[in-house]
Amino acid sequence: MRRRRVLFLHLSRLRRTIKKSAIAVLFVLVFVFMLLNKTNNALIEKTSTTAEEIVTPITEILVMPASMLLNGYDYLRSLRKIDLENQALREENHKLIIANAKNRALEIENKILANLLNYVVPPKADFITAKVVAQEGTAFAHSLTVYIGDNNRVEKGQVAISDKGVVGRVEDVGSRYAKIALINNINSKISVMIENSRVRGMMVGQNDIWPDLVFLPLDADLKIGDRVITSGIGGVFPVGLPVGKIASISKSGAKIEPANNLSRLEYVMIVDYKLPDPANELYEDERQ
Amino acid sequence: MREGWHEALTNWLLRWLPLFVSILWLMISFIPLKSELSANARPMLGLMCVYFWSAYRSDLFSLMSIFILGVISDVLSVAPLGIYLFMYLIMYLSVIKISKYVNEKTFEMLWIGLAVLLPVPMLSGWLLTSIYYADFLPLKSLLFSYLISVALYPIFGGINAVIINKCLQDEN
Repeated sequence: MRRRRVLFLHLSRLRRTIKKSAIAVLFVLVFVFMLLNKTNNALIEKTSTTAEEIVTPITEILVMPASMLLNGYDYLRSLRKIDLENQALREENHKLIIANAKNRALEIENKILANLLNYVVPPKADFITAKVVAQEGTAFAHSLTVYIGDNNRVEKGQVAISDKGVVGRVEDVGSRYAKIALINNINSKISVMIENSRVRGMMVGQNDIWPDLVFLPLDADLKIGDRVITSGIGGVFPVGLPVGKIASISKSGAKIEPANNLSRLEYVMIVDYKLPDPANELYEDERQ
Repeated sequence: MREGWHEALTNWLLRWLPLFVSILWLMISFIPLKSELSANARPMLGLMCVYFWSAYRSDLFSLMSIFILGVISDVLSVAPLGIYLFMYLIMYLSVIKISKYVNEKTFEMLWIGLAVLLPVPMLSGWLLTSIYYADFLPLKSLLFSYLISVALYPIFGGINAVIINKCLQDEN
């Protein structure tokens, strides 16, 4: 009987100690998580992906009524502008017919010139279209969660684009969902150039509405409204994908207004450009 | 025997109800709302949940609940893993510290309390994330998130209060 009482006392003391130190343990755990995350630990990545697979379907169910309401509201709003939109679309269609004819001629000319120059055609891109199911937009991260179905072609690092241009890059892939870090997310860095002047720079996300354009040459001649496209350096993005336009210029660089309205994305294309990784190529060359 | 089992399950569900409700709020905060504001500055619903339940029913919202909520938030986000858990723990500690001095838990008092306490975990999270990326995060969206969170608290708190009144009244 006495032994039991002593054991009980010990146990309750132990429980109290655990309770007291639990918060400290959790803080330590936070730093361990962050350290492992920084080192791209495979176990953490796998656990996080599995947990995401469980949580995201519930979010998707919750999104349904909200998106129905939003679509209804959008429809009612669009009814007001439908006449003006119709007129604008007719004009645009007329312009596009002319542009299409010009493009066809250019395409033929391009093919002939490429043949003359012995130009090596890059591999054809492979893509899937994915539905946006969740969105994150805080001071800490800007991302999208998309439904990719039972698709095993999607891989980390692939490019996410929409009809207007680059949206972001695949950050995490699960068996049915993928997380995309948007171009304004803090760890997004894309090599870009100004379409007209071909001046190169780096587009860096800052978790702000618009990403920054930095590492520009000192004599770079920038103008507000200049179109920004991908430069193709780095091996992930091909040359010429539209990114946005210069929105403001300061001493340290410029701000880029994304070509897409990142807050209104419903579907994105995840593209595999099958571009060779320059780092690996160099490594292979060195080995040979 | 059957009634006992049923009762045990109901008690278990009620015990974890604050966590289930918080997870639901958290998922709502990830719904795409197709607006410029919501895509850049969302209310910190997870932090608001930790604040609300730690202040009203800390007996039903333990460290385990905070851990689960934090991990789910981190999993759903592309922010560094652990950052939301860190902010929730800071919020929990702040509420515990303040609850010793504040006995009157009226709705207005708690609203003011949120306005005062919310910057603590948010700025701590901001600082830790800035250190992680070795780059300062914008304070503008943090400020907007804060303002939206404080402005939405009456709706959020009202719904949670209804849940307390309807489901957790007997537990009081």
